[in-house]
Amino acid sequence: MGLYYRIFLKFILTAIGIVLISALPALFDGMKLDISSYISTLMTIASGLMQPFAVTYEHLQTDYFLFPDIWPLWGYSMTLLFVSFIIAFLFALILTFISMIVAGKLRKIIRGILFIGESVPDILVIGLAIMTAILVNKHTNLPFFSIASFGDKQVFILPIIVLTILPTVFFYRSMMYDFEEEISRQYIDVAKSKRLSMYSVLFIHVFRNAIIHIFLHSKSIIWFMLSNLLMIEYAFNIDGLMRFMFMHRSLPVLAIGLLMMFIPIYMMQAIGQIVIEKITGKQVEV
Amino acid sequence: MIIGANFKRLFKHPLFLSGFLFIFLLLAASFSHAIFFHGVIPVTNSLKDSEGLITSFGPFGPLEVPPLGTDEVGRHIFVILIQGAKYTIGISILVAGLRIIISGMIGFLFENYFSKLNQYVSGLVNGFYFIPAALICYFLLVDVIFTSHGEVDGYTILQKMIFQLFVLTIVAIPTNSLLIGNQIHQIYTLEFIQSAKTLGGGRLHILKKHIIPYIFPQLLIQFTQETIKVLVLLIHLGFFHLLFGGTTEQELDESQNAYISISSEWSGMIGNAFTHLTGWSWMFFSVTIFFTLVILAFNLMTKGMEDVFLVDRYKSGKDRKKRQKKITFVGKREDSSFEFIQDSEKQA
Repeated sequence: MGLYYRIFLKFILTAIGIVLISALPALFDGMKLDISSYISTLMTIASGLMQPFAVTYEHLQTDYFLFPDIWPLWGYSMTLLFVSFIIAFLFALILTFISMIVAGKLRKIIRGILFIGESVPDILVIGLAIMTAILVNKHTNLPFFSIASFGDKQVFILPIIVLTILPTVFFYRSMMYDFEEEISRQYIDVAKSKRLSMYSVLFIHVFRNAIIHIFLHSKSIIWFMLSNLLMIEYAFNIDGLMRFMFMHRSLPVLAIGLLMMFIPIYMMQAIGQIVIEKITGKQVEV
Repeated sequence: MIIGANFKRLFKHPLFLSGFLFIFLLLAASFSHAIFFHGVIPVTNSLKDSEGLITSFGPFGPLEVPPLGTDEVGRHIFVILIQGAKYTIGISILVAGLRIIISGMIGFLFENYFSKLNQYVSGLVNGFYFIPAALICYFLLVDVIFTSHGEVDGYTILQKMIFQLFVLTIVAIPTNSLLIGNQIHQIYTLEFIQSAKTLGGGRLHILKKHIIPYIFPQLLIQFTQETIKVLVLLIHLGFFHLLFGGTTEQELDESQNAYISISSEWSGMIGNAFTHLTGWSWMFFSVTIFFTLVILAFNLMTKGMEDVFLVDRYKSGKDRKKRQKKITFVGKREDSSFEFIQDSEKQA
């Protein structure tokens, strides 16, 4: 099977999976199984996907068309998600390089702190961020630390900071694992014996080989970030897609919203997969 | 036998032991509070000075009423947390156990009989990676769990609890089944399974004698990881006022609603406490920090188990380095007297 065929097949199957899952709440009428309502909801979602411009959502007892109202929400959520993803990745990379270079004791301390960081629930980070922002607002007059978005004004800094912290920690864990795995390979010994400096070995060879594994691990981090995003949008009152889906509780809206989140993320994964397979010539699964 | 020896080593592992002891002590405190103190929670509504005059009204911070202050109705938060520990930890262990056992069985059946469908099923299941678990759980649970103000509650507490356990379990079954199925698939490709097959071992025999002993430690590790995931999910649902055993909404006054948890489980406090974050911040932080400590304890247990169980199996880079160091160390120490390298390696 060709690479592009696999990517396409996975795209279609995952999209079907998302639709099937998002219709699940219709399967339970209270506590009773209601298969006919599940199927009819699936039909509604399918017809909604055929004609997305006819889908409506209810707001204050009036029906509005979902498109184009959903675009700014989607853009906002996606900006938060991708910016945080990239920052978290870079931060974790820097931290990994630092802890690979520094001596044993300092590395242990960094690892220990980040190990504790793995156990922190995202809600606690949100709470701490809000308290810090209030403190900062009290004592200084920095405008970018506004806590909640009002009306058209969108906040970026604080949500992005919060959405970056925990993914950095998780990225760091998987990076350290892969880097240490990679550095114990024999080619590193060869490189060292050829008097290549530790930095060039680390930055060029180890990094290039480890990044593939890291990319393949990023799926679960993105999943974690999505639920993190939901919490943040809810806590900060952000007009994002996650909160929109959460508030309106309509299954067609849920399905379309989730698919709209899925498509850009999957595109990123697919591009990564293509690049990796072209370079290494191995089949990988994202 | 090997598993038994590993367990002995596990309980000597400092990380595992500290995590395990923390959970154990917390549960012991929780149960003894229920048994010896009949679950009574002390209430401090007002503080009096030495002459018996009321000086201030609650809720009090941790400094006024140690160790963790009181909540809106004056109950001591520390005691509430101790009392609720057995429910929170119990629920998460129960759900995680159910998840692992059920997905283990499904994974095994799937791997043995439907492995040709693997590509298609994994594509469909992949959808779960793009949906926050809290979101889909919220949609599934909200009608049953949440009783708004003035609405008639249609279900008993027990029904709600069972339904919530059911939902929390099934949302993770597809991904976990696939994961365990893939692990079983990898074990089938190992050499000793091949030789067992050649020697005429039947499917059940191989499962009983080879697969299960091999996969058991892995499942144990997955079980603690799953427990952490359930804890986080409980926090998220609690944040949305979906509390275990049902939520009853009550109107305190025009603007405020109170969400009352029917069980005294921890996540019930989070949603309420978050609304008072800026005023009575200790309520929010004490409960989330307790959650963090429990998750940390489970993380420590996971780490300990990984160290003990998986070291012989995947010789990770670190251990290989360690062994190399050991070998050179032995060589250096005894370089005064002549010795074969092979022998020194055996000693190491």
